[in-house]
Amino acid sequence: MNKQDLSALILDSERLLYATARTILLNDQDCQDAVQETIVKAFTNLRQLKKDRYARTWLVRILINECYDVLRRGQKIISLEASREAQERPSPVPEDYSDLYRAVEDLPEDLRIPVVLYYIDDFSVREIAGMMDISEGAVQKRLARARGKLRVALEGTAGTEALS
Amino acid sequence: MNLHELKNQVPETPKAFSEMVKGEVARQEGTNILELAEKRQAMNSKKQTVTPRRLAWRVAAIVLAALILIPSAVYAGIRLFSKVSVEPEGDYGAKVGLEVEAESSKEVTEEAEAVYELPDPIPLVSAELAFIPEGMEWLKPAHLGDPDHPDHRQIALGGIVYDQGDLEDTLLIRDVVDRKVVTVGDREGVYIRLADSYRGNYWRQRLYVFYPEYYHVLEMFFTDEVTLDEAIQTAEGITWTFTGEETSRDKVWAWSDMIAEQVNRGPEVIPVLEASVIGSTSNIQVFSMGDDASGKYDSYAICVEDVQIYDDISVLDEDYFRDLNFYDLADEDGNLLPADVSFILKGDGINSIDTVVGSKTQSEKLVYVTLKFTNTGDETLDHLLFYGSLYTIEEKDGKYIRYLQPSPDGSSYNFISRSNGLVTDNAQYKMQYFDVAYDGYGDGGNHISYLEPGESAIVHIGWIVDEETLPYLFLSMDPSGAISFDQGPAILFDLRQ
Repeated sequence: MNKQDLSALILDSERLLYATARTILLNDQDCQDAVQETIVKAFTNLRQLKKDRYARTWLVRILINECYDVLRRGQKIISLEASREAQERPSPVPEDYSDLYRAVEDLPEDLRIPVVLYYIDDFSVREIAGMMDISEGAVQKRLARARGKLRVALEGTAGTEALS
Repeated sequence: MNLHELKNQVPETPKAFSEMVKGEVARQEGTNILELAEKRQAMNSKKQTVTPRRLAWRVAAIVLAALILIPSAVYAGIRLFSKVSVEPEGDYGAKVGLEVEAESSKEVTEEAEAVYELPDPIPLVSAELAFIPEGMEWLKPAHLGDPDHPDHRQIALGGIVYDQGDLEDTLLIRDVVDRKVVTVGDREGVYIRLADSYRGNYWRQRLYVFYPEYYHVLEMFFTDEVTLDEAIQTAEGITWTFTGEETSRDKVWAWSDMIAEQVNRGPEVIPVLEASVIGSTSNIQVFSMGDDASGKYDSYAICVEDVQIYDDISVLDEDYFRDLNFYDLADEDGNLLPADVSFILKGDGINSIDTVVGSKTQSEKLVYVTLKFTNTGDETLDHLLFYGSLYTIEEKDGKYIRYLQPSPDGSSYNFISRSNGLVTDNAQYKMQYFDVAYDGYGDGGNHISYLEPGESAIVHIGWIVDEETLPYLFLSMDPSGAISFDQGPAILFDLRQ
C-alpha cells in the first residue's frame, strides 16, 4: 500500500474513525487528538503493514491504542460527570440520537467497543478479537451480553438468558 | 431490535473533525522525511496547547474553589455541616440520605440548604487524587486497580450531582450486610457492604461522601481486596475543582434521578427459574453421534465422534488445564470427588438475601466428547472459534424443555452453586476443558489455528457434571455459548446417556 492508497482509506474511513473513537473517549476534542495521532502513526509506520487487506483493521487498532493513550494522559484528573459511566450508569447523549444509539452509548466500554466495531463498522468477530487482544470467544460473549442489555434497555423485558 | 440499523444512526462527524482529517492526510501525503519531522514537531507543539488549557483549568479552579468554599462553609456567621446519613430498611436494605445542618437552629439549616441550591447551568467539576493505594494505578478513567490482579483489587470513583429536593429523599441500597457512618477528613460519610450473592458479585463495598459546595456526592465502589482505610484515604486525598465548563441539568445524572429510577422500577421482581420450553422440532435440529452438522456454521461442519463418561480425570491432560484445576476436584488417585450442591434462592435485597434452600451431595462425572471439525469451504479457515455448552433438556412431544435438577425438598431456586466452585445457571454447564494448545492468538485459546479446505481437526472437550443430569445432556457448539436461533434453526447434539 502506498501513501495515496492510505490517504484514500483514511478519508473513506472518516466516519468509522470518529464512531470508534467516540466509543472510548468522552468528548470530540479528545477524539480529534486521537485520530490525528493515528493518521501520523499510520503514515509513519506504513511499511509495517504487510497485507493491504488488513489495512482497515490495522488502522482501527492504531486508533484504539491512541484512544487509550489519550485516556492515560488525562488520568491524573478525572471528570466526575464522565465517571458515572464507569459504574454502568446512563451517560448523557445529545437528544437527536436514536433510542438504539443512546442505548449503545449507555453500554459499558468493554461491550460498547465490540458492538460498534461489529454492527457499525462491519468488522468480523475475528478482526475485533485481533484489535482488542481478546479471544474470539470473548468477543462473542461480549456481543451476546451487549444484545441482552440492549434488549432490556429498549424493550423493558427481563434479562436475556442463554436459553432463549 | 435490529442492531444492524445502528449504521444509519451514527451521528455525523463534526465539521471540525472532518477538516482535521483532510488537513492531516494532506500534510502527511505531501511530506518528505524532514518535512514530516517538522510537521510532527508542529503537531506536538499544537497538542501542548491542550495540556496548558487543562492546567489553566486547574489553576483557575483552585482559585474559584477557594472563593466558593468560604461562603459555603460559613453562612450568616454560622458554620454549616454536610453529611451522608444511613437508615435501615427491612433486614438488608439501607436508605442513604444527604443532610446539611447548621450548628444552631433548624431555621438556619433550611436557609443553609438554599446556599447549596444547584445553579443552572451546572458547573462541571473534576477531582484530583493525592493518594492512590499501594500497588494500584489508573487502569482507565475513574478506575484504580492493581495491574497484576485487575479482576480483584479495584476502586471505581463516581460523582453524582445533587439537585434541589435531594435532601428529602433517600437512595435505597439492597443486599446490605454492614453499614456505618465513617469519618472522611472533616466530613461524615457512609460505608456500605453488600452480601455475597454466590455468583461473583464484584463491587461489594461502597463509600458515599457529600460535597455540597461542589454540588456532588462521591460514590466509590471497591472490591473485597481493598480495605476501608484505603478507600477513606483515597477519598480524603481528593481535591475537587470546577473545570470552568458548564452543562445543563438535563444532561447530567443526578442523585434525584437515581432515586426516581428506583421509584419507577418498583419492587424487585425475581424471576422464578422454570422448566420452560426452549424450542421444538420446528426450530431445533438435533444431531446424533456420527452426524455431520453444517449449514449454520460458517464454511465448516462439526461431528460428535465419541462421548465417554468417566469417574476419574485420568483422560485429561494437565497441559490443558486453564481456569479450573481438575486436580482440586479429584482425590490423589484421580477419582472425582462428590460435590456438595447448594440450591440458591435469590432474595429481594430488603427482607432477604440470596439463601441456600437446599443442599445435597452428588456424584460428579466427567463428560468427555470427541469432536471433528471439517472445513467444507474453498478457503483456509484461520482461528476457527469453538465453544461447547452442555444443556440439560427434556424432550417431550416434540418439544425441548429445560430440565432443572430437583432440590432435595422440591423448593424453587434460581441457580445452583457447587462446592467445587462451579455454578450451574439456567441449566447450562460451561466448557471447562479442551485439548487445543494456545498458539498466542487471542486470550481464550479456544480456536483451531487453521483448517485448509477439506481438512479436519479433532478436539476433545470436557465438562464436570452432576451424575443425575446425564440422561438430559445436549451439546450446543454455537460460539456464543447459547442456543442460538439467529440465522435459522438452533443446532444441538444429543449426548444423553
